[in-house]
Amino acid sequence: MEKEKDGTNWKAWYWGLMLFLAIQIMLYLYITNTFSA
Amino acid sequence: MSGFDWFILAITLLAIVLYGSWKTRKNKNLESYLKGNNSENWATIGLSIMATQASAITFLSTPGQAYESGMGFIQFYFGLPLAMVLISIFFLPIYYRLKVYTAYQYLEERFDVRVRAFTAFLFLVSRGLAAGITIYAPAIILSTLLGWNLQLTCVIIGVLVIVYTVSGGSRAVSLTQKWQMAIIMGGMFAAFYYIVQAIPESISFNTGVDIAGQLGKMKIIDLDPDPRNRYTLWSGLIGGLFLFLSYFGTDQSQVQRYLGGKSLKASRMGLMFNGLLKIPMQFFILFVGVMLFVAYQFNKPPIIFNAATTQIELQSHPNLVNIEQRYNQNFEAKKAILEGWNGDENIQIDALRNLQAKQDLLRKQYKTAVAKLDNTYESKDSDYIFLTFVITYLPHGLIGLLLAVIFSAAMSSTAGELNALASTTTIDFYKKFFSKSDDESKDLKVSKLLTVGWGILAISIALTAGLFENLIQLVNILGSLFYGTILGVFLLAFFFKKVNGQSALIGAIIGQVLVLALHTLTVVGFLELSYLLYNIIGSIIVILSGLILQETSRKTTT
Repeated sequence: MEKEKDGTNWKAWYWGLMLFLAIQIMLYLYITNTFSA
Repeated sequence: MSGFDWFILAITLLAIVLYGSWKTRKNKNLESYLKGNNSENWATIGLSIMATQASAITFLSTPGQAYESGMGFIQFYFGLPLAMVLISIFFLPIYYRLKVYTAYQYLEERFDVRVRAFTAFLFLVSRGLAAGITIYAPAIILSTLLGWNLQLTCVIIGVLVIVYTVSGGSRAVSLTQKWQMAIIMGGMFAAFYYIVQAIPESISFNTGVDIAGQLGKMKIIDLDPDPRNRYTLWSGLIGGLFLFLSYFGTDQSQVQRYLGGKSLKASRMGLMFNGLLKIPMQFFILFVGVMLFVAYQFNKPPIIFNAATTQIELQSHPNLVNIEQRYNQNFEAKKAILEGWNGDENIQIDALRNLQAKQDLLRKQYKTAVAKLDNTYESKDSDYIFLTFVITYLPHGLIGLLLAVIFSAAMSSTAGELNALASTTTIDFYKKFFSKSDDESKDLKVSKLLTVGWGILAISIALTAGLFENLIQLVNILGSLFYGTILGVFLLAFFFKKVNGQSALIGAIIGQVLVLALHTLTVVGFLELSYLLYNIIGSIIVILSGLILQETSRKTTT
């Protein structure tokens, strides 16, 4: 197991992932409203 | 199936087995066998996590589910990214700090050996049975549609997995899963291309989606707050969060995938990879099913997709022939409307919907009539829809590739399961209770033997699964029956520092008994509970029982 120095901004990753989830849900809501009768 | 299809299928499967065995032939000790010497990069971990979760039935059932019920199933995955973040923050650093082989080792550090053994035992029971069904479920569909021998199909899948999992251990599982995912996605894109090609040229892609929408297949988000409704935004976010937290955070078949990472950073990145790609991947697989539905608006689908599962001669029953004739007339009437579709409001949308509803009703009537004549007939045929299209409309060579996709998915999930079952038995039971020696070569041999043993058990369950119809149903929800308890124990361990081993163990037993009781009440019809709720209920009962017991014992002693 490597003890590499981790300079990753994990907070940005986590918030980015949540933002991506929110965008997907909004996109799916848009598709639902646009294409569903 | 042509000789060319057999050639593609055989070459693909052989290449996977040889690659996995060859690349990992130098395993010398338990560390390299169970954790792959912590050498995996983030991409391998991410793909391996996805491949373990996506079993063959995912690729057979999901398009069929979208064909029947539309895109709503995608909501089930909304809790997954949230679970990835929480595991990355709370679970992963602890597993790394303690350098554990299995998730359950941590529970001994935190509580005591009894809690560790109890949760490891729950995992072995649920995953051990599930491994057999992972093999059986695709084998029954393949053997029915292609006329293969069911027993032989189960044995071939099981033996191929055993060969490279035993020889190469965890690393072989991860490395082969990477290529299996590439084959799976390549095959699904090829299938999607041919599905779109089966739609007439006069119907554009947008019009195809519009048709699917008008017939109710594009309703992706459901905001209904009713908890009895299985797939809604809320059940996906809350129920899905608990389910995926337990599956990815405490199920050894997943924990083992990311513990093989070369660093904490690589493992975290693998989880982020899964969190980013899982929902789009499921969206694509569901969308394949929706476009398949559109393609079958212009190419007459069989009235039932699993006709081969019944022993009766369908054409010799006048009632069935009559329903089928009406089904055919209905299809032609619907097709005539759709061929005049130009996307504007003048189209006969109501007529179209009525004809689709009539088609669904005729299908249902036909299934009921078949079931009356043959009481062994299983009326749910959605698992057969995608493969029926593949073997009817795809060119030779690609049929072989798509069958390799199904085999790859079955093998990747089974390999992850066997690897995890062997690790848990070796580390949490054999090394803990039966062998205190540090003889690495002996431990390695035992671990390999246990992998073979679990593999043989999985094949045996697959070979006898057809005899126990209710067992299959039970195994399908088995994960949810035990996950709640296991997650509850882990949440107590992480977040409630004052709770000791005794309280956690009794809390876990109470939680497990109550979840099993609730499930029994649901089966007999006394309650109406979605299996997703078992995870939430189980976890909450374990946590509350643990806290109350701890408080009671503290007051008694003071």
